Amino acid sequence: MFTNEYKNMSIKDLVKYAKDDDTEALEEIIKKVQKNIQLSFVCLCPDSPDISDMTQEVLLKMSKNIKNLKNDDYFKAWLNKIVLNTFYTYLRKKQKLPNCTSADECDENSALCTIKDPCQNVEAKVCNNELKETIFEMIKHLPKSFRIAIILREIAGLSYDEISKVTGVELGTVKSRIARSRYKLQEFLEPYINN
Amino acid sequence: MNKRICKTVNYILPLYLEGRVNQEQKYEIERHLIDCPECFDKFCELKRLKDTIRYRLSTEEEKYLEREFCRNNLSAFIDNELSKEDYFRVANYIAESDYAKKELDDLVKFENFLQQSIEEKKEMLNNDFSKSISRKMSFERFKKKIMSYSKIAAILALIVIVAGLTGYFISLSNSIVSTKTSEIPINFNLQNQ
Repeated sequence: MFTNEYKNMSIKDLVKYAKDDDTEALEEIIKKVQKNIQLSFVCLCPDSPDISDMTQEVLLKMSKNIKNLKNDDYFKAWLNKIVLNTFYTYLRKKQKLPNCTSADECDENSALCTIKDPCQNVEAKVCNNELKETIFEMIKHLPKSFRIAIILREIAGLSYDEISKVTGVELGTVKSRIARSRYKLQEFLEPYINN
Repeated sequence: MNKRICKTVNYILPLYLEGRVNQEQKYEIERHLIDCPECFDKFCELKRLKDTIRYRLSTEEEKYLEREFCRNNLSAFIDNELSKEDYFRVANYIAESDYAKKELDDLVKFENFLQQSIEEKKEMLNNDFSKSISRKMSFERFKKKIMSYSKIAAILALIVIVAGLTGYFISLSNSIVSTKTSEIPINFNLQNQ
């Protein structure tokens, strides 16, 4: 099969070939998913210097275990489950270090309300490109559960049902977290857009 | 069918039915409805609902609760993640309220801006791990093959050693038996004659 044919294939077909040890299909899958995974880690673990390593770890786990995937339709959800597990492992390691406070909040309502604008001390950013960088700063400051929900929706492109399965929370909770994250980010951005 | 256009048409349909879209949007929607059977079905259902069923709320409390429900589901509405019933409830709310239309517009603008930012951020990430991962996987497969061949070789070697030892002990015991047989005294034979 020619390389161009792989480029035009859907993820589902590439997964089918990759399960049969087709190296080119596996490489094409990696090319299609690596940026999403890397950007997810940029937003999930902003302080980590090991984002490339974590990305490679996820890609290697995916490559080793792809044959165990029973239903090819669930590939995206399955892959993002690996991303989340890698993130939780990173969190556990971080919490074992001294002088580390937990990034998690028990009460979601108070966590979302008490978030202050992370860019308060910075000059108002009116340039569009800087505004786009600002939005990522704001995503990084959302509470963990909201950050995960918005990343899985906006970056990984999972449906609400898939996010519910990956995170193990109710569908209604997923819907609420995504809605509230968006409203919170809109609130943060409003002064910059108006300026 | 282009999912992005379907997503846009999905949340703009209620406004189209109320005549609250500009000429350009009207033209794009009508063109899409010709090409997309799913969106066309949704349009027909929404039109039927608009013509035959009017959601009537009697008390202020009911109206307030309905407003809250629709506001809380606006995000899921633009993601096309609502059940049919809830989709039409929110669509009805948007069609009947200017404030809801503004909220929808703001949310859609924000969503488009967020998606654009994400795409541009992804363009800046230049690392390509495909070859390195592929090499690691080839090495893993090679290691597995070597391990399985080594196991087979070890088993064969064990069989050969066991066979060799068995053969050695058998020949040793045979030579002991033949030595003992040759030591029987000659008198015995002479006596029998």
